[in-house]
Amino acid sequence: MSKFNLTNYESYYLDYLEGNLSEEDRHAFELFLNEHPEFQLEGELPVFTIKEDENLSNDFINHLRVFDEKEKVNESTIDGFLIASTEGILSTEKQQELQSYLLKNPSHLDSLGMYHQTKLSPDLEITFPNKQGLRKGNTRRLIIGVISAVAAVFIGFVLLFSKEEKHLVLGPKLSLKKDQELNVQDTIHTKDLKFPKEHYSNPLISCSFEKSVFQAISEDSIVKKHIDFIMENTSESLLSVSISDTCVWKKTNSEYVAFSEMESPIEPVFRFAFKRLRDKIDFRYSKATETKQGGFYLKLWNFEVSRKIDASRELAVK
Amino acid sequence: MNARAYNQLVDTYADNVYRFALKHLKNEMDAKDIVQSTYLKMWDKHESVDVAKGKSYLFTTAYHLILDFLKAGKRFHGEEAIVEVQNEDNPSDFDLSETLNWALDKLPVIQKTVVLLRDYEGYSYDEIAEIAGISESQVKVYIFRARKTLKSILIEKELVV
Repeated sequence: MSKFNLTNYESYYLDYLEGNLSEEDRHAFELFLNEHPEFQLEGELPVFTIKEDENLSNDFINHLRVFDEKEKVNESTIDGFLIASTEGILSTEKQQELQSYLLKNPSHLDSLGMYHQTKLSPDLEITFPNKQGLRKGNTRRLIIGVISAVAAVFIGFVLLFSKEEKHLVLGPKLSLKKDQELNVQDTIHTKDLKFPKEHYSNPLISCSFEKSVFQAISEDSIVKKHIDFIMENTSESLLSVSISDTCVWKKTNSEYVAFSEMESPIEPVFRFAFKRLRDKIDFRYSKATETKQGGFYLKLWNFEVSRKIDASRELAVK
Repeated sequence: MNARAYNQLVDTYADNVYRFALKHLKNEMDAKDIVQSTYLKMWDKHESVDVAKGKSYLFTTAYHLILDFLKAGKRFHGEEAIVEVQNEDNPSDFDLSETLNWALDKLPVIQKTVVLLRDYEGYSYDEIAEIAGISESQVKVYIFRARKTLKSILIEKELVV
């Protein structure tokens, strides 16, 4: 790209006309003029003449002077050297020459001090008030975070609704009806009998079960897929429930809770969505079993939620 | 340049670009607009901008946006002309810093630019030349002229030591 543009070409024009540009710059400038013929000076250049009685002041002439370090330090060049010294661009040799001159002409020391005073310092109390608004990347994370949260809610609701239709399957010889009390010591097996939760009014059973599920999930635990119950006949002839050895809450080293092992995915999905927002979230799925319907999990960043109806199950998901 | 490097440039240089724009435009809202536009332009080109050149890119962009802004407001009559500043108050007679800042507005745009880049940001002459799109020798001429002008204003205000 050409270094010449509409805002700076004028400052190069005189150098060009006087032949002070380098060969490369001269060529580039001519190309620029060819591209912008409207800027080309036509005809002869105006000739400026100064009448003998129109002498320019020394101050003005000095103003026009260009500092050249190769010159000697003297009365006509002193300002340039003082500024160069202030700017810190003098060579060691010239700096020494300047110092020697100042020792002989101490009146210029004031000028040196004045030039030092022209150096500006930024007011650091002036700051841009909305840097956060300039930053990038937050929006993407926020959007993904919102998506993950929405997805978590969606998945949770899907599974909650499916859970409402779910039946606990108990032993083959037991059929628990609404408000029925159990007084047997049978181990309940996972077979054909349906045991709708909403019909299961015995508070001990219901509370015991729900509490266990809640605690397990909140403690980063997993629950086995096959849940068996042992029914016990209490002294009050009320039914109590305990969880058998085959239904233990297991601690896991994995940061992920397999979906197949979630009774309710809402809390862990939320937990992962917020806790792991800056990392990938794994995608897990469960196969439908005798006792549980299938479920699904998601993997974010490459956000993906897939769901598949299995022919043999209502909500098998993969 | 990735988002992290870009954000680093926001944290490090947004204040500097803002001060640079504010010195030229003398209006906070306009200066904020310049900063916003500058960073927006850099983000648009972030894939091709070298992190090491990030600061230079910012000031180059800001400088050109300032010129465009002055042109649009008809306050610009060439880089070597002085921008008309409205509602300027005479500085207090005894405040060197205030007077110096007031004197800065008496400089043409290009001289003000090179002095600000030199004094505020500590840029070398060749870096300033790259940012302002002029030659290094021109930078030197402008800085020397600016210092002389500033000195003469200080003398006029009798604020020199």
